[in-house]
Amino acid sequence: MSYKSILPKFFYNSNISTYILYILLFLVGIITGANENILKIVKKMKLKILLVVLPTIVGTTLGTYILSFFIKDISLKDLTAIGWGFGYYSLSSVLLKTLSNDTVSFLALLSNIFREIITLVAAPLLAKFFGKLAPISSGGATSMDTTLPIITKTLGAEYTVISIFHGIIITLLVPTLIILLYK
Amino acid sequence: MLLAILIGSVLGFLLRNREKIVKFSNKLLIFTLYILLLFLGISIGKNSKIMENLPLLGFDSLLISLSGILGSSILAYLFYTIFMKKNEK
Repeated sequence: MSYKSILPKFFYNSNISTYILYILLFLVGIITGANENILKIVKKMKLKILLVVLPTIVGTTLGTYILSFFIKDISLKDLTAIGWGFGYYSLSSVLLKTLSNDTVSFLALLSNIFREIITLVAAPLLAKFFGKLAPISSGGATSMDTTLPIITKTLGAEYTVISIFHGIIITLLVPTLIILLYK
Repeated sequence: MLLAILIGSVLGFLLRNREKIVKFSNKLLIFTLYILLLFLGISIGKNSKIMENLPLLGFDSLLISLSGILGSSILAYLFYTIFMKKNEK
């Protein structure tokens, strides 16, 4: 089946998206670099707080690794990259369109949207069965914005700072890890 | 690409007190994301391989997100019980 194109050629030029992608990554850097919360939080909570991102990263990587034995038509590399979107569906899908292919990009878009939605719905359940860090880990990069309200509501205000910090670090790690993977 | 992030972070750190620039970067980031998502949407819609396998891809992506959520929740449980629970009163 072939689809007739109704849009001008400009929209199908992948070079343009690559240039815009560079600008985008630069902007992600600026915004995380300018975030004063990070330094304040690290000073207040000591270096130990840096470790809260570990379960999220190792757990997600292990989870997708185990899944790779059951899903054969997606390579381990692509599966890992999709998992490393950590809920940041827009950035991860846009990156993977350039670094991998359209199908992987589409999978990253969908599965990371699912990750955000499932966290929003299941945060209280996750906290009940897996402890107070689980909704934050599950939220991934979104624990600093979209899933923050439900996390604060479920865990109490004393977890807001950890949640925001976790989200910022994961947000910065999403592009970094994915780019390194395809190096 | 990593260089773009790195230069951005350093510049962002240096410009962290210039509220207008940071706010503008935030707006520009959302704008560029939308543009790229538009490009992405167009190439997905154009890609017959994706459109024909939509249900299967949807199921696969659900499995990927569940495996990520479960994996990180289990490790978060271990981390919480080992390092954090003791400190709570």
